[in-house]
Amino acid sequence: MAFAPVRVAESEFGALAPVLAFARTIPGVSWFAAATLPLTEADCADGAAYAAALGFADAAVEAAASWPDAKRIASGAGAAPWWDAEESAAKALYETALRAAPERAVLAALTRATDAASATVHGAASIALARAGIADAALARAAAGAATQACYHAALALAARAGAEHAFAIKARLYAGGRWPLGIVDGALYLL
Amino acid sequence: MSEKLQVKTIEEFNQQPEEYKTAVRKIVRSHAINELFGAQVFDEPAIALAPTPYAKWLTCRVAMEEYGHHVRFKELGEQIGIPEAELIPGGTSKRPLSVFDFKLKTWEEFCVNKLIGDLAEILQVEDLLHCTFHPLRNLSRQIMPEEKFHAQFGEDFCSELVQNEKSRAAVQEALTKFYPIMMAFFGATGSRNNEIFRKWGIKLRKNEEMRADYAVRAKALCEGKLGLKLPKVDVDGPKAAHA
Repeated sequence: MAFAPVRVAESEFGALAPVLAFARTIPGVSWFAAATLPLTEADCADGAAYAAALGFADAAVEAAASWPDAKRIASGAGAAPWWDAEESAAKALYETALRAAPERAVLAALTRATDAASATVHGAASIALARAGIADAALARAAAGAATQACYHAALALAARAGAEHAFAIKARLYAGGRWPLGIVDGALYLL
Repeated sequence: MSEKLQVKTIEEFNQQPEEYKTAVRKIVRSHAINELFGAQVFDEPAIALAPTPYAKWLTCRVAMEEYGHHVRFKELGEQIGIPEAELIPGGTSKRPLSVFDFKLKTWEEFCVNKLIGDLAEILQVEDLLHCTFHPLRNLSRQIMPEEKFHAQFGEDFCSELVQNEKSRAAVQEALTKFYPIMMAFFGATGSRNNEIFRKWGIKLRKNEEMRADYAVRAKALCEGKLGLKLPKVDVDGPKAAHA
């Protein structure tokens, strides 16, 4: 098991510069700011495009009514096919990224994104929950975990130059719009 | 000695006797390594074992917090003169804690790991809250809320799992396997290192006192709250070689 920290000079990132640029934007995102608000046309369009890009073209886009509703949806059975589709997509992107840049540089660039997310999203989730009058430390952390994973996915898509219509690029737009995509369960993509 | 000694800064630390500096370094090195090892062998693999997106995301966040603890101990370690290589697993000849030999295979095992593994970590961090080396004391204060949350995570998920007969049996099985391993987590009875830690006010309690306290708290939690059964263990723990 390798534990050695990865250190990479700025000049070694090369083609991974878009990942670093993305990482710098993370603290400025209005994380979870649109949670529980009615879905917009853009939310629905991005939601449908995200589901289709993962192979769930028939999925409806539904709103989660509240934070507790989001917890119920994300805690239910039936999300495994969607989760597995995301895992497969992430694996394919990572392999593509390694063809374009050395692994240590890819890992270091991805870490920039996850470090930035980790430092930002938990506080944002806690504030969003507090605004809704809810004190739930576990739900705030789950939301933070989801947003951090989304940043990792978005960074992977950039590292692999997958384009703006890759599922992970679209998912990042949903988060940037203040939403929390909760997954595709029983034929529907749920957004908080 | 320890009642008067208060080391508030790294500069003051550098002026302390070699025995004090060596003792503090041992503790910081141990925490830096074990936080990283724990995240690598327990928390990160558990993301795949978690049954729902909610549990996976929550576990993902917990893993990041454990990595964050490693980073904070590592930063402190570097400030007090520990070479970076010694702050990561494999960087020294010292064997990792035996608890990391446990091969995690199920979600129930992970939940038990958080339930009683992080309870043990809480006891260790509690003992540092009064440490004479203030940067370590302050770091312990910082991470304590997260450690408590991680133990609560274990309790919450175990509380759900024991409601179902099949998963209750899996939790009990995991507890029966994992609890005895935890006894060595507190170090040897009659430890010379621990004697030096207490001499300098770096730690408050003997290893055997902490182990006995842990056994009481684990019993209240696992048997009192969750209705599980702890296996019989030797609460006296391993004896120091010189004792």
